[in-house]
Amino acid sequence: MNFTLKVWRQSGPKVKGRFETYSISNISSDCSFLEMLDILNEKLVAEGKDPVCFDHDCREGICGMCSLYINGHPHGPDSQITTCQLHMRKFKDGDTIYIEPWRSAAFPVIKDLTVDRQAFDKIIQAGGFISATTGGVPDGNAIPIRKKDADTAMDAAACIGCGACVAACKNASAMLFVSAKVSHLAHLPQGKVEAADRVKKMIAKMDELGFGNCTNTGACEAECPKGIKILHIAKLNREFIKASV
Amino acid sequence: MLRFMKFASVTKKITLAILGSFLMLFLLVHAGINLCMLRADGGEWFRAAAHFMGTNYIVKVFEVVLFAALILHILLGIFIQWQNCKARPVRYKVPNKSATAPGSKFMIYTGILVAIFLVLHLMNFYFVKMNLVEGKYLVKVEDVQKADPAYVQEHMDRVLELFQSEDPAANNPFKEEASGITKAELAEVFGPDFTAYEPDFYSMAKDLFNNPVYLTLYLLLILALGIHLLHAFPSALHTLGLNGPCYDRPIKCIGAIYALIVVLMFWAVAIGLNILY
Repeated sequence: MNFTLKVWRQSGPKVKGRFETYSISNISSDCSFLEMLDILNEKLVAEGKDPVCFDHDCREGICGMCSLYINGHPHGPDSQITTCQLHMRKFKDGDTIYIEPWRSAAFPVIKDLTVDRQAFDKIIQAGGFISATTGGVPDGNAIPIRKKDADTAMDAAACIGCGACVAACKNASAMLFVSAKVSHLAHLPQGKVEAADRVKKMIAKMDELGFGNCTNTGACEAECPKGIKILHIAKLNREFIKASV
Repeated sequence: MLRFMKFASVTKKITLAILGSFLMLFLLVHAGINLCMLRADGGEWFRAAAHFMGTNYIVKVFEVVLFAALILHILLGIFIQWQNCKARPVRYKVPNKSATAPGSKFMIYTGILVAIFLVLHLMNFYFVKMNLVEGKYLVKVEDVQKADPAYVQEHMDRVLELFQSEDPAANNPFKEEASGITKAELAEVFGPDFTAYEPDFYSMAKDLFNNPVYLTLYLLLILALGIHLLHAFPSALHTLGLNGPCYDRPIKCIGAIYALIVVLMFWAVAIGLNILY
């Protein structure tokens, strides 16, 4: 398969970026999107040019490291996958593919397609944990948890913190991420103890870092590689109201 | 407002939702009263409803609350939009293609259209009541005695003409109230100091809806309101935390039905007045 790539190139955080056009040919339809970029980078290095900088790690869809806003979709046009699980067969031969970094005031570009997602870590540090002292390991069955709650908490815990929700949101809001963390812990007895503090602190941090306001458009839910539902945002709102009154 | 800007994003969102919910309730009341115009009674029911809404003290309190809610809803909406624009200083080259809830991406635009409609609507109707804009007026028969007797005496034929019943077979040849009177006519017939008149919203609405340009504009702007409402209802409940796996679909369905009903109610009155009366 042959493609024309329009890739965002930006040599540093403060430098003005631009789109660079590359032609790439003889790509297997079973090639993953990141492998396609690897091939492009090998070609660029061979030509003595600067390779395209992009984030990746596990390449099996569980680490949340890869990003890329491809043709108007975070993680590309397929649903419930990360960019590393996107295959070139999802595109047509001869397609022009626009590749952009996540765009958000809270996620500044470091280089090319790599953005600084430390803002998410800061939100977690603000309250996304349980500060219990760890004694001996208690018996797992000593804390009864309703199956429904355990399942909902597990669904929320599937969040890999990739930032696709922020990238997809028209307001660059991080509500899906924050709600997944808040909802995950608020559904479990261990997390309920600090639920009120947690929700307030995490939202305050989220606002401080310059994320936008959620307007319930649902774009985050549509693009989340782990299929996290915006119903968790309703849960976050409930937790916030409970914590405020 | 300055202190309010520092509130948490979720607080702002909840405030916007509460204000919006109040406005959604108001729309149903307004549309319901409008429906009275479709009754073939020459506007009797509608004028009675308008008289009640314009004079009742409890309604007057709600009027203040309504205007406060409207203004806050608009200001807060604009402020949130401004913050959201700031959250993404560099836009994407390819516009976002993610699936979103219907109407949700255009809330600020449909909101602006509704605000434009509101200005037009207030100028046409509410400002007449405030005596800022001239409209059409009605005078009750018992209030004729409050007019300057000299003027009434002099223009007795005009007064009788105004109160002439449309129904020639009626027992009483005179109506309870004379409607559709202009300000110039009022001053001429009842004297310049006469104040015992009320705005005649029925005649004003009838005139406006029989103007094809106004009718088209009205129908389009009500459609914009409908698109705004399509997202408003489920979004408000979601923001207030009143949503869950079992309620998600029913809430969205009720929201769509609510938006459709409001649009159809307003449209029916506008088109009905144009065709029927």
